[in-house]
Amino acid sequence: MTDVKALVQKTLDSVLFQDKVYSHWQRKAEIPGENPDEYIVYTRDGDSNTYHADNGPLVKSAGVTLRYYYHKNKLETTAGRNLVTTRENTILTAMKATGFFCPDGAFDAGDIDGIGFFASVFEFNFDRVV
Amino acid sequence: MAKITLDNLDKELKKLLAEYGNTVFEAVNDKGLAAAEKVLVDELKAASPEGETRELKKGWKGSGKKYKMVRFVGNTKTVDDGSGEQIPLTNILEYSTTHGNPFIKQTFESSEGNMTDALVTAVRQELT
Repeated sequence: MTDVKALVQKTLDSVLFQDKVYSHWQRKAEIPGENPDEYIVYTRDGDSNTYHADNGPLVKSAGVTLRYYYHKNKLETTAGRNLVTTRENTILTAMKATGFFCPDGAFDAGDIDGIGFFASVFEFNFDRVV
Repeated sequence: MAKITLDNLDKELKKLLAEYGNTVFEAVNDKGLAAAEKVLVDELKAASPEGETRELKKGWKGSGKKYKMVRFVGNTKTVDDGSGEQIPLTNILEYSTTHGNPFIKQTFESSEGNMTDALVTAVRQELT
């Protein structure tokens, strides 16, 4: 069965690792040389069973919540705001290309951790036959 | 209504079915979704952390009939993020990795059956 967590990590690293924007599962870890202004934390939130009406194979749908954190100062310049939008599009495009779907897109959640970083939140799902 | 003959039976049946469809549509849009919305608001209230002020519990609101065939349920409680900005408390509870206490998505998913039941019951009552 597909390891959804590994798939998320691989997908994000393939497009963001080069810019030192690192992705973390559940909580941020300190990594030497990381981009100090941006990082990602993702969590899994459920893996529900889905049956097809035609008695076809069992499909499981894994939920993944992804938070893209960026320093507040990014909003103060056009370049910073553009960078945030570009990152959001990069994340969305890469995840969709891997097979995730995100019907609601990204939304601005604010400084949810009270650390001076804003978060864009994506709620993804990944369906696979088991 | 025009006199129904074998020649126009199919047209009249189509018309009747369309009228019935409209009636069901209106029943769902009006009473059905309102009943489902109420279920979700009640269940989110029940699942919300109490806090000292109970403002989160009291802050759940439905959009009502503002939009056709859809309802939105949200919470009005906001808090200071530490730098003077107000952000929805639900964002922190649901998504923060340091102060989180997620319950909203879970409550929505566990309420789906009750919402469906409430919608169907309300539509049936409206049609009888």
